[in-house]
Amino acid sequence: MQKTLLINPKKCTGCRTCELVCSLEHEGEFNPSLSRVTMINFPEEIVTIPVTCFHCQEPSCRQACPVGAIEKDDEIGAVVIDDNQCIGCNMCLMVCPIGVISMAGSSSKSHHAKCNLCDGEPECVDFCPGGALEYGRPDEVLWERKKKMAKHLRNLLEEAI
Amino acid sequence: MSGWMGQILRIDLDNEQVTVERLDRQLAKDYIGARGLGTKLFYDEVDPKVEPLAPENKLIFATGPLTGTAAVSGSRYNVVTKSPLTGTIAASNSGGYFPSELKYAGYDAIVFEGKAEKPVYIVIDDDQVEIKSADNLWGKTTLETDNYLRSEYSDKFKTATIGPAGENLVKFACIMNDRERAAGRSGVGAVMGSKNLKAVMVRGTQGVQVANKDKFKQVLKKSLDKIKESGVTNEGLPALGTAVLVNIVNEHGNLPTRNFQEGIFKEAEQISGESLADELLVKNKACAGCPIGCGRVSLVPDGEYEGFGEGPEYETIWAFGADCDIDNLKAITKANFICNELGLDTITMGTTIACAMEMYEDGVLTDEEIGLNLEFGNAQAMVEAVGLTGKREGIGDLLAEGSYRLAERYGKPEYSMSTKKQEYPAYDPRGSQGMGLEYATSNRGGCHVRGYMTSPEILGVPESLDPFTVEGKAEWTKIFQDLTGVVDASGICLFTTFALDAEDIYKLLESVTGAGYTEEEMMQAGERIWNLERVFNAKAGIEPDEDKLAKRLVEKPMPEGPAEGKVVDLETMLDEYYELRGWSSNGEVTEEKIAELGI
Amino acid sequence: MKVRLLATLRNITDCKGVELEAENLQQVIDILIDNYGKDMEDELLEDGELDETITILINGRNILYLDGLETELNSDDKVTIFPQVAGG
Repeated sequence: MQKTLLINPKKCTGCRTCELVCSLEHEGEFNPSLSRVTMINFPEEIVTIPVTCFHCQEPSCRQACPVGAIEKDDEIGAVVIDDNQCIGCNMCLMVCPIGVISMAGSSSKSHHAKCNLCDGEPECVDFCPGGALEYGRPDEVLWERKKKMAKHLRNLLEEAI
Repeated sequence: MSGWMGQILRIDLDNEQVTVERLDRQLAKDYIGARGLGTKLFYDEVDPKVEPLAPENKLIFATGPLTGTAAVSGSRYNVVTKSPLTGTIAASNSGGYFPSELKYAGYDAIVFEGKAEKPVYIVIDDDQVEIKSADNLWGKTTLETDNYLRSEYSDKFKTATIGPAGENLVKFACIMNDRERAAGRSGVGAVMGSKNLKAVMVRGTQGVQVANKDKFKQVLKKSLDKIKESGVTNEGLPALGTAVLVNIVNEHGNLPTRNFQEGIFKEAEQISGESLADELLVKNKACAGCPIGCGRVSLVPDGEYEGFGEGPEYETIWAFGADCDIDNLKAITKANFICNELGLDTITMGTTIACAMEMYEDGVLTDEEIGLNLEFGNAQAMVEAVGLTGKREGIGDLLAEGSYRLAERYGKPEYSMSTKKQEYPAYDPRGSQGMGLEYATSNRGGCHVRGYMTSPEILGVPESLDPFTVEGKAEWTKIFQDLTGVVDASGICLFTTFALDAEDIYKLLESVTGAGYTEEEMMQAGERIWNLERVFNAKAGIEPDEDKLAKRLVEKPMPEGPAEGKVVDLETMLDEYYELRGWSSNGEVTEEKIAELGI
Repeated sequence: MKVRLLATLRNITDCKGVELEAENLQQVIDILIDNYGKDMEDELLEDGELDETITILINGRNILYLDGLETELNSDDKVTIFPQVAGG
C-alpha cells in the first residue's frame, strides 16, 4: 500500500521544527518562508496546525500543468514537480486548493518550493518532537490510532465494571 | 556570515531615523550574541551612569547565532538595557517566535535610542522599517495590542509589546512577545515605555545560514537523542511543566513561604505541577525549535478567576502562592494572566505583594493607607493588587516600585527579599547554599537563571551536591554562570542544559557559525560576558559590597524542616568565589582580568 | 510511615503516596515494586540497583548524605521519592 503523510494536530506543540529542518534540507538554510510545511498559528485559541502538500489522489496541480511536469510518484506517494520540465508558469501555485506550492528562493534551482516527501524519508516527520507528523501506510498509522482509542475505551469499561 | 545575519538595525526614536550597520565579525565571535553581544553594544555606547528611564538610556533587542535555527530550542533573544529596578545591567531573556523572526528579517539586533515624541510602534518587514503612531494603542493590554496589529497587517507578523505596566513605568514591567512569552525581569518594559515605544512587529523571509550542514544535522540528532533520553526534558518538563518543582523544593524545605519567613508550604500539593496538570492544564506549548515544550496552556472555565492563556510557571505559582501563603491555584493562575495582559514580571509582582503582606501584618502598612486587606493568604486581595499595580492605582502605585523601594520608604528595607533591589525567585538559599552565592553575585540582582545551583543541589543534575555544605560551591557557581552566559548568548534555552553539556553546545555553535571556536574559547566568551556585566555595574556605581543577601537569609536560621537552623554561609563562599574569578579580594574586577579577556 | 511519590511516578501509582511499614529503605523499595509491579521496577531500578536518576529523601534530606538504602527508618519518618526532574 502507498505511504502517505498524516497530520495529527492534537500533538502539535507549535515548535516549528518541521519548518526549520525542511528549509535546511531543501534550501540549505533555516528559512520558514521557504519551507514546504508551514505551521499555522491560531494565537487566540493557542492552537497550531502544520499544513503541507497532501499529495492528492487527483492533484489539481497536475491537471493544470501545461507541460506535464507534475506526476504522482506511486512508490513514495508524493506529487512531484520535475524541475527539468517545469517552465515556472505558476499555474500549479494558482490552482492548489491547499496553498502549499510557493515560489522558490532566489538561490534555488527549482521554480517552486513544494513538498516531495524528501524522496521517501521526510525530514519533518523524522524531527517532529511531538509526533504530530507521521509518514507510513495509512492503514498502519490509523491502526495505531484506532488501537489507542480502543485502549481508552477498554479502560473506561474496566472502570465501569 | 553563518549563524549571524551580519546586520544591526538602529532606530533613533528622537529623529525617526532608521539605519542599518554591519556586525563586526570579531565582536560577534567574542561575545557570541544575544546577552553577550547586546551587553557589549550597550557598554560601548551608553554612559553607565545614565538614568534608566531617560531618553539617553538605550534598549537593545539581541538574538544569538543559534536563534532561528533548529539547534534545540534556538528561539531566544535578550533585551539589554540599564534596569530601572536595579540600576545594573539588565538582560532579560525570552523565547517564542518573535526572536527567530527578527533573524529572518535580516538582523542580529535592534538598538532603540532616544524617545519618541508620541507613542509609536514599529513595523519591520524585511528591509522595510516604518515608525507608526500608536496613539490608539496606548493603554491597551498586550493581547489587545497583538490582536489589533495582526488584524491591521498580516498575522504572519510576530510582535513584542508592552502593556499598561510598561507605559506606567512600573519598575518591573516586562516586554511580552508572541502574546504570552515574557522578557520578564529587571523592568525592561518600563524602559520601552519611557521611550514611548508600544510595540515592535516583525516579518522576514531571509534564511539563517549554516556553516556545516551535515555536521550540524549529526550534532542535532545526537542532542535530540540526549533530550529524549533525559527524564527531565523528555518526561518531567513536558508532563508537568516547570511547576513540577513545587512539591520537590517544598519536600526539601526550601520553598520560601510567607515572604521567606518559612521554608515549607503546608498546602504545596494544591498548587503543584501535578495539581495544575490535573485541574487546569489544557495542553503543552513549545517555543520555536523546542523539543521540550515546557509551556502550559491553562483554563479556568468559570468563576471569579475565569481565564484562558499561557502559564503558570513554577516561579509564578510560588510567588503568588507559597510566598503569599495562598493555596488557590485558580487565583494564582488568574494573577498570572493579568500579569501577562498588563505586562508585569510575575516574580517581582508576587514577591512584592508578599513583602507588603508581611509589612501589613506587622502594622508597618495600615488599612487606611492601602485600602486593601493584605493579610497573608488573601487570594482576592492579591489578585486585586496585581491589577492595581499595572495601572499604578491606589496601593498599586507603591507596589509598582518593587519590594525594596516599598520597604525602604517605611525605613524597613529588611522586609525586601532581594539583592541589588531585585527580588529572589523560588528557592530559599538557607537550604541550598550555592544558590545563596548565585543570588548574591548575579549581575542583575536576585535571579535563578544566571547560575542555577538548584540543579546540582536539589535536582541532582548533572550530579548531586550536598545542599547544606559550602565546599566547592564557588567553583560550581562560576562554571554555571559562565556556561549560562554562553547559552544565553547563543540564543538557545537554558533548559537544554538539563540534558546537554558544554561540549554539545559547543558543537552546535561551531557547526552553525563555523567561526573557528575552540570549546575553551567558547567558555571564555561566557567568562568575558560575566566580567563585562560586572565592569558595567561597577561603573554604574553598583559596588562589590552589594554582593550580599537579605539579612533574614544570613542571620535568621530557618525555623523548621530539613534545613532547620541553617543560615547562608555567604562570606566563606564569596571569598573563594572572588579568588576563582581572579578578582581582587574585595571583589573588584582587576585590570589583569580585563586585559586577559580583552574587554 | 508515609511514602510520598512525586511527578511522573504518580502515573504508576495513581495516588500521591502510600502508608507502609518498613525498617529501612530497601524494604520500602521492595514493597513498592511488589505493589505496583514492573512499571515501578523499571522506574526505580537499573540492573537491580537503585536507578541513579531516582532521588529519595528522608524527612527532606537526600539519602546520598545519609546512609543510602541502608538508612534506618522510624515509623514517623517521611520518605519522598521522585524521578529526575527540573524546572525553574
